[in-house]
Amino acid sequence: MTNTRVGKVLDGLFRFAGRAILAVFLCFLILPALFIAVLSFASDPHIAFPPRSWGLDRYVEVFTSDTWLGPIGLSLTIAAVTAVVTLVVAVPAMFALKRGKVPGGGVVESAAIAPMLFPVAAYAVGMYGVFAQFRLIGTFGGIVIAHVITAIPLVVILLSTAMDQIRPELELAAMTMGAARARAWAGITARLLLPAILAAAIFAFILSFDEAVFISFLGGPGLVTLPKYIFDSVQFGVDPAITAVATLLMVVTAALMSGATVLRGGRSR
Amino acid sequence: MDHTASEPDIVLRVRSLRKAFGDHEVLRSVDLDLSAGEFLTLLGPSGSGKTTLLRIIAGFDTHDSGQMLLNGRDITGLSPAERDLGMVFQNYALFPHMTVAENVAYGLKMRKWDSAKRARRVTEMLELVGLPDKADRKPQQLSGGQQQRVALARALAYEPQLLLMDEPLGALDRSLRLQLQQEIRRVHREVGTTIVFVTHDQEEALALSDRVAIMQDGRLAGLAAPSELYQNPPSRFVARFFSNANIIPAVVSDGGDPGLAKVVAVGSAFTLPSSHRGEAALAVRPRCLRPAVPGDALQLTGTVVESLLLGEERLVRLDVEGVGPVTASVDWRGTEDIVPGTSCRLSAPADDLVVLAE
Repeated sequence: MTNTRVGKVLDGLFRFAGRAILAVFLCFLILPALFIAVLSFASDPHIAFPPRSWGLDRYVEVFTSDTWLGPIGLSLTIAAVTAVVTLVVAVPAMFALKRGKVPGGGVVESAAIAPMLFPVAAYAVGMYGVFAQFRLIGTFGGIVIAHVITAIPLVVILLSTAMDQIRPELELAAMTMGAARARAWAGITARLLLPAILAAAIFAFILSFDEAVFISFLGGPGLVTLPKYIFDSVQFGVDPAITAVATLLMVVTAALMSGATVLRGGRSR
Repeated sequence: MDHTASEPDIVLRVRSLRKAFGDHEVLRSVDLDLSAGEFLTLLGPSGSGKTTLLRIIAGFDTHDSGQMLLNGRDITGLSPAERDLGMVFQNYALFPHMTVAENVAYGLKMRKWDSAKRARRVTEMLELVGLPDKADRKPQQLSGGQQQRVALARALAYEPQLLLMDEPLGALDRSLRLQLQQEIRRVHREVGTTIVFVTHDQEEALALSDRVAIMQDGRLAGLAAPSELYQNPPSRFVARFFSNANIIPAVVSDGGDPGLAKVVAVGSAFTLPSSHRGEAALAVRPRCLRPAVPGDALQLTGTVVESLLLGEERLVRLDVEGVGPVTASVDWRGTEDIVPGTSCRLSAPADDLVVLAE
């Protein structure tokens, strides 16, 4: 009897503790973001809480001054090129691994995921050495290469799971009906993989757009992406426009991520 | 077309086909001839090579040596697309991003039929498989049985020279399987396509085929009409696997006539038609055994291990000394006294016994 009563009390306690922890967790995740979003609509000369006057001044500044538009444009360009290059490398590689008979294909796939496991700062230092040799420091191409390497593990994981859900029999069926292998791949498998490919592109884009470590090590003085600019500007005093930039980043990232999630969910059936 | 003039009606000819994966020989010299309109079933336990044989005919896998002719044309080096075959898979393999009609039209599109002709053919095929109202559905909206009927329509739409079916009913439940068997029989009757059908289900093979090829360890262990194989199995393996027969050791000696043999088995002696001499075995199907009738050739006495009433018949498992377990399926009337632990006497007439040399 007492056992069950103690059990019940413990049960209730754990359930309460679980909810409390979840609430605290959510608060810490969301509150800072909300806080920044609120501050971005203030028009005080300095960041202060609570804001004394409200307005869209900070957004106007972000969209009109070259100081912000330059880094934003560079980041968008690098992210777009990274997404495209990553797919150009990863999609054919996935077809070769999943549909061809590549000896040691599993090893290749694991190797593609490996960069995810390295500590980023240590990896960046290592890359610095290599990039210095090939004179890639501070070049657009160099940063794209670094970003492609960071994006490939995630893209490979996404495409690999999506590919595993597409039965090879579909291709074989197309082939018996008279489709050449290339046509069966393009018309059936790649077509079914398309949502996953788009989702992978979005993830690669976001990874690159948000990336702050490699750019600090490898970007040199000339290449200033948005994360780099934010870092730099914080060192010499805080530009209040950062709150607007951060809010925009959060909204756009969240929208892209939910787009990717919808794309991935839509094809599972 | 260079049809071999002497045998115009052989659609598929397979000669000494061999295939090994590393050290493991999956196909050891398979020979097979299929005449036009024939329904041939490849039957065998898993790992017997039946699916490998089908995949090689389809062009999905390569073989090591041997020859394959489709209507006289060597298809050995051809890609699946160039072979002009139809294929139905166990998991349907319908294209999920296309409608039923687009699925059925795929092969026609590959053959560059114009769209009016295509549409007519699709309607015709969907009527053939009884799904004329499902043309605009997506495959996911159909039941498993309906999907497989679409797959059949899709594979037959462009009138391939040969239709291959890889355990097409394996993913369906029993009642649906029986229904689709009928459907496949009807379609085969109406269309007359030559079919190679792979299954591990002997009932399916019995119900559908003109001929059955039984595969064992990469060889053809038997190739004949299903009724012939069922009643006169050529080997112990076929007897056990296809007819579920009991195998009873026997000694065969001269019966006075070259075609007759004197058989001695578990204490009974009788004469059977056979030219084999020496150590042999008898095949007796469970249905051929009955509660002992004095005049019957084979008399078996053993201890009842299990006795189950299955409706009209009683399944009896007997432990017979010198033979081992024997299964009998007897008429249920008057069998209440067959209970586990007691002794039981069963017999079979000479007509129901087959001498097995191998």
